[in-house]
Amino acid sequence: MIKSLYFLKTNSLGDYSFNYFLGLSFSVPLKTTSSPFSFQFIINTFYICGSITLNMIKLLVIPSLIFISLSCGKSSTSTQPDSEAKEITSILYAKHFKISMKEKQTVLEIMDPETGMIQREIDISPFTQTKNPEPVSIVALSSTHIGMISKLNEANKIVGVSGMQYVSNALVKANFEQKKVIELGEESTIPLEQIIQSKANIIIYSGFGKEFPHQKQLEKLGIICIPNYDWKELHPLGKAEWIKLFGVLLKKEQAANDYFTHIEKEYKSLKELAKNSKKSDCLFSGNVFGDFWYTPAGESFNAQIFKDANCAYAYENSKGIGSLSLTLEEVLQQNATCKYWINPGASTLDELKQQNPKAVFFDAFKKNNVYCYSKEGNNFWEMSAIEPHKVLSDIIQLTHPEMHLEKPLYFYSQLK
Amino acid sequence: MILKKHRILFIVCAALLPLIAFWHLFAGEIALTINDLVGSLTDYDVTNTGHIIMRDFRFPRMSMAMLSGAGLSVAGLLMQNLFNNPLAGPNILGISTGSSLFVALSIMTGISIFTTNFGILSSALIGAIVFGAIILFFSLFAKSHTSLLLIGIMIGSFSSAFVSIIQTYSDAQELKVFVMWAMGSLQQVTFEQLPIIVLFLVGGFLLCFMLVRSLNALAIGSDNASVLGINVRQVRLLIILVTAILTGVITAFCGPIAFVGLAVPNLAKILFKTQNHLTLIIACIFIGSIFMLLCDICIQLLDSHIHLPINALTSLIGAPFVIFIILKKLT
Repeated sequence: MIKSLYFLKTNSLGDYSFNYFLGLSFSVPLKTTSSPFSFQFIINTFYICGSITLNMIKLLVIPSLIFISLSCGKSSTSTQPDSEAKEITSILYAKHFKISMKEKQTVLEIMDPETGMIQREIDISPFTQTKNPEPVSIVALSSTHIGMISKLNEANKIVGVSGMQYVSNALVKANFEQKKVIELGEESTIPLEQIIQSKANIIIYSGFGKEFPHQKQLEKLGIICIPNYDWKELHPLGKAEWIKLFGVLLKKEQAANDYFTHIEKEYKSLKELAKNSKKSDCLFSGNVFGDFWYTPAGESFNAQIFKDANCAYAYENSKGIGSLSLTLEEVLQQNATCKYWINPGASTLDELKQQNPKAVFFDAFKKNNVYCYSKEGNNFWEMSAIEPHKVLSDIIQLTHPEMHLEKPLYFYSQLK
Repeated sequence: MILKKHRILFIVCAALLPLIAFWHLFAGEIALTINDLVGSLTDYDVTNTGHIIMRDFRFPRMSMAMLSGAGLSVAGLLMQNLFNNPLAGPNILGISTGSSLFVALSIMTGISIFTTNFGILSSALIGAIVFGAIILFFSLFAKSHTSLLLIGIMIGSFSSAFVSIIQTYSDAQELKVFVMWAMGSLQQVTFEQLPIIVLFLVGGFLLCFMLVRSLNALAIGSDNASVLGINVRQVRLLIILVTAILTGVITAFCGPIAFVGLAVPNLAKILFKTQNHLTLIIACIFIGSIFMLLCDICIQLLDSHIHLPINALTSLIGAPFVIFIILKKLT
């Protein structure tokens, strides 16, 4: 039914969600071409009915699979923290997960990003037990998950991804060529059969819809679905800390902890350096999308990086953890003479002008001071979450030339 | 020949239009003064943000609201005449969707020339003409206007499905360009692009005025029009061509805008109570311009509370109006 409704949404071009677009997280309403009384509505209703019928057929097949399958991953939903649970991995910045020992089981607690309460408890003991741990095969549905797994040199364990066009990792690409990795498509429309075909036993998904499609059936088939709310973390190190979860799942806990300690140290020392220099010239971020300009709100992840880089950002004191939607006029009035423009979501000045013809009125555009994370295609989306120190280093280098960091630009390049 | 009572209505519209346009210029969240307006027109200073906002942001937006409202309304009127059906319109009959399909195809082929203004404009025009011709082709076989309307809706759904498939296979950058275009906006047009749009639309309106006699004849049925010496086939082709030009140009620069082409011609018919297409075309130009200006003013006034894309607002107003027309026809 969810799948059917999604089909209705996309087919009628009704509403699109763009998370992570331009490095931000927001939802945009699109045009509505079918009114509730239009004939297209009737047609779409037929689509839904058709999809329901298909799903009913699937439901007849799935129980037989369930009966012959062993159940190994179990999850439960709870809202109360357990006093007997003992945290086994120290989590310093991330707010949305914990890993604890509870009744001799390794339990992953996923917190609801909205309420902070435990949303799910997932028994991950089959993968963490010392005797005969189950070999891990992962479906990684977001670029950041691929980045974290590859950082632990375990990209070979990835057996399914959302779309190959978004993958930058060479090993995953090579494995796809050798048919060891399959393409599953968008999170909410992945067919159950393809997941079973991938032979994965863990699905890491972004958790936009909280529950993964067919989650209960998948869990009965021994496939654990883990929502990854790294994209909801507000501190750059909180986002990176999710590598500890992958460390536990892949039995590389020490490597994950060591790596995190290293980047934490790097990040903090860069932050300290920036703090001791003078505030940078003013910077603005984002681009126009439809009629509105989306820019990070003052309490958001991106604004935190600007703050840590000691940048002058017009919206640094604004409220909100997502993005602000402003009119073009407002952005021009506040940033017309700003020196730096970052994250416009384009890789050349021509492309930027094509996307936003009014870009030419900004000084940053006129003086060619526009920078984007497009140095190596999609590499930014894969690696920036796990390498926040490099993002910070790039922003400091762009906005504090006087500091002479003498490091390469890792993700950013100047638009030409 | 325009009746006296219609002339009075035109004078009222002609007086209201500049007033509303003036209001539109000052409706934005940033307070600008008359000096900014005068200065931006007489002594434009590229370092003055007020001048830039007035000349390069608000003036093109105001002009585009007027032009798109007028163009889509006249296109809708032509469609309603062609199919002798008040529920016809470029959006309903799949002409706008055809434009979208061709723009999607052109953007997502990855060929850079197609992502230029010229590429998008020509793709939108070709899409509108091709889909207009397809509808016309089916009109030769459809036994009733309702069947034709249903065929139009099916063609619209068919091309929407293609657009979805193309989106699935396009890369992130191409998808972004297309989605940004498809969201519809009056703000993306630049001061420098306005003459091109005016040229196409004025050309389209002039062709419409040349077709007035034929349109009036077609309004009483194609058989009667033939008796009156009208080359019905030729006129139909011309109507499709003019509709495609008007819809294609506006869709290319503003993205698909729903319901204006359907609602405004009906409003004009209700207000003017005539089948004289000279009167109706002028009425559509005035009412369409005023309607879009008012919609965009509403968007700007509501901006601090709720962000509304232009397409959503025209649908919010247009959809109940269409229900009203259907109910009125039923009773």
